[in-house]
Amino acid sequence: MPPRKEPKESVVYPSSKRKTPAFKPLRPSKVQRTGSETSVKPKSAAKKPAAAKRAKSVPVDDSEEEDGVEDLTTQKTRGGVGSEDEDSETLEDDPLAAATKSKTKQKPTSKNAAPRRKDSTRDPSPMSISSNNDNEPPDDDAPPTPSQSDSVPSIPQPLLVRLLHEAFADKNTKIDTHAIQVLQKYVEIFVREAMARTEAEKKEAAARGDCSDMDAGWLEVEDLEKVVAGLLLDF
Amino acid sequence: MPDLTQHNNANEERLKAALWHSIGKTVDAVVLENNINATPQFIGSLTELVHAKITTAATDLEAFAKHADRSTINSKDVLLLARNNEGLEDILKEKAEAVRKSKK
Repeated sequence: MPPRKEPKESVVYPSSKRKTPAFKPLRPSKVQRTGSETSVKPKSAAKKPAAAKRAKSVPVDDSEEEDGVEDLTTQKTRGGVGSEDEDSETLEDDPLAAATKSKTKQKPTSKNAAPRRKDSTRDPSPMSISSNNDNEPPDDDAPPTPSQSDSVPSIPQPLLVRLLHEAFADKNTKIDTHAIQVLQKYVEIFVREAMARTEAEKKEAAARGDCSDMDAGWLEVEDLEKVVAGLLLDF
Repeated sequence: MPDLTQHNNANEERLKAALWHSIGKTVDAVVLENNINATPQFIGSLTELVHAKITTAATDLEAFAKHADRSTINSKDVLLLARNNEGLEDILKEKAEAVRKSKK
């Protein structure tokens, strides 16, 4: 009988690339894109009248974790964009407040557990993610690219830096401010190209008569699926 | 270390939510410009796509910088990212030039 295999083969190392549970965003129509604080406020106020005086700050669901995250981020991004601190704060605010609303309901006691820390860390930054867009410097000599108007918001720099640092294998890797702005452009073009190709695909499908008139103006996942292969080859 | 993985998952989910929010705003703006509509599912899958793209771009950029014996990614590395697409490279070059000038 051959010797039994060592059990060490089954060891799983935690990594950032680990598969996460399915991402289930709320429907955009139910989420206030700007100023979701106001939508959250009455909720917490109604639930906990005692906490009404702090109702301005977004419900804290895992404040224990946050401190570790912030330390990590400030360490990691010292060479990156300066407003990173604001980002780790603002991540608390909009979409997350909505997305993790159910989570916060389950443990309202954490609000009382760490009121002091919350006051010190959360209150100074009522800024929402949307206001981070102002970080982008205006294009002085705008390149003659098709329809790159300033009205289309791009991905906020702090968020982009954060996402990059999540993916870096070496935690000492940094990115300079020029590079982040160019990369921001890259991501914006990627998004716009994805939409433009999907739209073109939809128009073609409508011309072929593959979709009903009602669907003609709607970009759908199926249309994105058709163009994604070519899109990724070009980027 | 179940705590650590749980922490990572929660963190990643929050980042994805933030990205979804940002992509949603971009999509809304483009949709208004072109007089079309986008389903929420479309925005969700586009978010996943962009997230995957940013992740691979990050590892690529890191490798480019490492190859040049640097630990800081600069804009030339980003231009290298677009080496397969001439038009895109030109746009990014102009952008890099504009950024460089504005910072002087």
